[in-house]
Amino acid sequence: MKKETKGSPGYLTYLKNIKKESRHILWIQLLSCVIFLIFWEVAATLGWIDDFFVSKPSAIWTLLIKYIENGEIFRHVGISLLETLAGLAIGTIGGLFIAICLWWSDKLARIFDPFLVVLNALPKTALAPILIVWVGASMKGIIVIAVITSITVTIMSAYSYFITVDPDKIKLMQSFGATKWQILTKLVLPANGINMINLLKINIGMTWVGVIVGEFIASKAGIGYLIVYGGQVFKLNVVMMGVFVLAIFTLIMYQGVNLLEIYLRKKQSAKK
Amino acid sequence: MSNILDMNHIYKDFYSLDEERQILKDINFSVKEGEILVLLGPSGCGKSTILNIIAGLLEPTSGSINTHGKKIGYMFQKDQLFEWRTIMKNITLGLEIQHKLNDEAQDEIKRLLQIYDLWDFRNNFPRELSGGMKQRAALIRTLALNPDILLLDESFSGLDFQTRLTVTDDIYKIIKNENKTAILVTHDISEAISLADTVAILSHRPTTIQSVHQIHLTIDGEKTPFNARTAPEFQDYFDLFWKELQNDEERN
Ligand SMILES: Nc1ncnc2c1ncn2[C@@H]1O[C@H](COP(=O)(O)OP(=O)(O)OP(=O)(O)O)[C@@H](O)[C@H]1O
Ligand SMILES: [Mg+2]
Repeated sequence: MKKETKGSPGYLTYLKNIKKESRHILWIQLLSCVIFLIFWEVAATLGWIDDFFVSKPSAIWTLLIKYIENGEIFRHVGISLLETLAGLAIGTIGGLFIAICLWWSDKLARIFDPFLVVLNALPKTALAPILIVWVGASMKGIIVIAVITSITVTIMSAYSYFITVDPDKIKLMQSFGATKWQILTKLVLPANGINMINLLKINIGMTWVGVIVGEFIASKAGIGYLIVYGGQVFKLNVVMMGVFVLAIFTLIMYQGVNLLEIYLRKKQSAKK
Repeated sequence: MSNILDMNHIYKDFYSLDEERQILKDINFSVKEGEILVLLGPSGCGKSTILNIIAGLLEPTSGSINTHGKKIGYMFQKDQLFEWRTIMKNITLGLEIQHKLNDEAQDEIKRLLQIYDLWDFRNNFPRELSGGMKQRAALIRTLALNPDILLLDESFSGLDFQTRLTVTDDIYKIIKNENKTAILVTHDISEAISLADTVAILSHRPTTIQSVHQIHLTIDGEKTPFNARTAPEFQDYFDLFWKELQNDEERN
């Protein structure tokens, strides 16, 4: 069913222009991709650039088809995806939980502050080898690395969102006799709904970094493994394919969160 | 009429690492049932602090408050409506927190929304309402808990002048209609005279009560804050209060 928009001619033109503009932008984006791919293909075929180092789109595509046909790609993607989703869930939920604890107790927040600052400044990937030694060169180890990369940012951002809630709104809640738990669930968390969605978006990127680095160091399968393996045996096609598949899945997850955001916004503004 | 609130020798100091500051020094006043008391004082003198102490959000350093077991409702400077809740959901917030959201309370809210012209907007979000409507919604949120004493902290100061006059009229009417006692805080002399039964003038920090005035205005018909401004005595009160605030300023 197509929605009938009402309005003055001026408003309708305004809406039409906005739609036209977005369509225009989409076309330019698609066209740039196509031109880039064609140029890459032609340059590699004509030998302007060395396809041993940069591969070429048709070769990557053929390889991808082969990996799809023998099912290999699904194994790699499946494993990486599982690690990422687990890391994302644990990192985000765990981070939020710790941020809530810090919000709950000011003293706790002050005790942990310097440790968090150091941990946040440290490149978490530097810890990866140690973690692998401690937890083991397994899926578990990789998930731990992914969690470590995302959890500090989650804790610090979520905590800073929580404490910037308008103190007068907290006073309002207190004037109703609200408990700390009620202030948390009825004010602090709902006030930061959109912020938490944004945090989730940032965490997707962070978690993938953790997973890929983890797979670089210790794994027998996964997209990160594929990329490292391709690099070691100088099969740049495999590396490029890995990167391509990675890009696709990051995009899908990101869009998934976008849909979640739209759904939540709709639900919030739904009138009874 | 009997007293509904007594403040006895209230002192309040605020401490910080580099100093201790005395904000309130021996504040004494009483409020009678049905009265509107306006606390008039310069910015930063501790008006909000007094209301916070009455509401029990802040402990006085010394002194005692007797609220005679009455319920207190607090209306803040800004409307503080939660933008993710509809007007209805905002208004029921206090009841929800106190687990008192029953049919009787719902009926009362319906009545308030209907007489004060917000019923049609009950399912809208705060951003869809004008400033004046939001103030009324905030007042109904406070009234929904059926308080005996209303505390209003410069509740109109965020509004433009015209809306402010209308909202002041509306809120005055609501307070009188619903038979509430109110303590209102402001630094606006005209607003104080037009709303109050009694005005207490506060001094600079450390804040004490300089003087207390009963307001008697000659008005044809029913009093509203708007037509109070046309009363012949209005200007005299204005000059008197102006001079008192000015004298206090000079002493500092
Ligand atoms: N929690 C606090 N800690 C320390 N000082 C405070 C605190 N709350 C208020 N003060 C100080 O006490 C003084 C009075 O504050 P208060 O908010 O009560 O003034 P006010 O008369 O309501 O001012 P305004 O007209 O600006 O609203 C101010 O100087 C303020 O800095
Ligand atoms: Mg104030």
